[in-house]
Amino acid sequence: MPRWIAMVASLLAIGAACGGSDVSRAVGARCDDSSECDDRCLLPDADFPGGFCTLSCDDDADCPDDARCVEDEGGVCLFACESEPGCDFLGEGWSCVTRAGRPEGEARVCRGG
Amino acid sequence: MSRRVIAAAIAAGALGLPAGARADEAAAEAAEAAETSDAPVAADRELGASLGVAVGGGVTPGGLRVEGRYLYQLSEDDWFDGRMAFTIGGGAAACFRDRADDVVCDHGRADGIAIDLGGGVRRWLVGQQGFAPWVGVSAALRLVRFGDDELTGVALPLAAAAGVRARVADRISVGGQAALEAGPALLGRGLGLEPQLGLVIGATVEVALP
Repeated sequence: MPRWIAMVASLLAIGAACGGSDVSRAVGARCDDSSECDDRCLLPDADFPGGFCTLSCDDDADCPDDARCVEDEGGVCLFACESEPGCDFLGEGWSCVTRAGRPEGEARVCRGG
Repeated sequence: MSRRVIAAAIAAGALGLPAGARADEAAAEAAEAAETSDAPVAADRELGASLGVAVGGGVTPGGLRVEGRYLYQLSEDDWFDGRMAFTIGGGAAACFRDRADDVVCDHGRADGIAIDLGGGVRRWLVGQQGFAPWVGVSAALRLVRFGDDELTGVALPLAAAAGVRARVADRISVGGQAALEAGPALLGRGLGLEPQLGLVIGATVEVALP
C-alpha cells in the first residue's frame, strides 16, 4: 500500500477513534428521556443512577455482545459483569449483581441499588 | 491513441453526442487543438463544478459533496481557487451523554450537512500527454449541522488537495481531485471545540471564461 494512503487511513482512524466511549445511545448512555437513547431510557433513580439508555429484549441475542438480557423493567439489556470492578466505568452507585435472566436462568449484570 | 483523445471521446459521450463519427470528430479536434496550442494550462479566469463524496465521521459531516469553483490567475503557476461547497449527508441522532455526563457524538461517515465558503491557491505542475496535474491548499469557513441531534456549529477546515485534469474542448477541462481536510470546529450542545477530519474525492468540470 502506498505510504500516503496508509497515512490518510491512519488519520481517519484516529479521527474515528476520537470521541470513542464505553457506552452508546443504545446501551449505557446517561439519560433523562427516551429521546436521548436509541430505544428507551431507564430513568435516573437508585436502580439506574444517572439514567441508563438500553434496549428492550427477549433474549441475549437482542443485546450487544457485552450485555445480557434480564427480566428487569419488562426485559432490558444491562452490561454483563463478573465482579464489582467490572461496573466501575458506569460511575458511583453501580454494582455487579445477579438478576433473573430472560428468558431463563440468571445473569450477572451492572445495576444500581 | 493519446490519453487526451480518450478523455475527449469520453467527454463527448457524456455530453450525449452520438457515438461514432461525432465522438471521433470531437476527440480529433480536441487532440489537434491540444497538440498545436502553446496556451497556458489554464485560462486566467475559470468557473468549475465538482461532484463527489466526502468521508466524515464523529463530528465531521460527510456524504454527497457538490462544489462550485472560481479560478483566477495570480502568477505564472498559481491560481486563486475560491469555492463554495455543499456536503449533504443523512444519518440519525448519534449524540449521547457518556457516564461522565460529557456529550459524545459518533456520527457515521456520511452523516450531517455542511456549507463551506473558502479559498486557497492552486499550483499547476508539469503534466504529460495532455494531463495537467495540480496541488493546492485552502481554508474555509464551514457551517455544520446534524439535524437529528439539533447540533450546529462552525468550523475552519484547512485542506490539502491534489488533482489532474485534461482539456476536452476549447474551453472545457474535466478531471478528478482528492483533498484531505482538517481543522477545529466550535459546536453547540456543550461539545465546544472539537477536531474535524475528512477526505473528499470528486470529478470536476472547469470552463475557461472569455
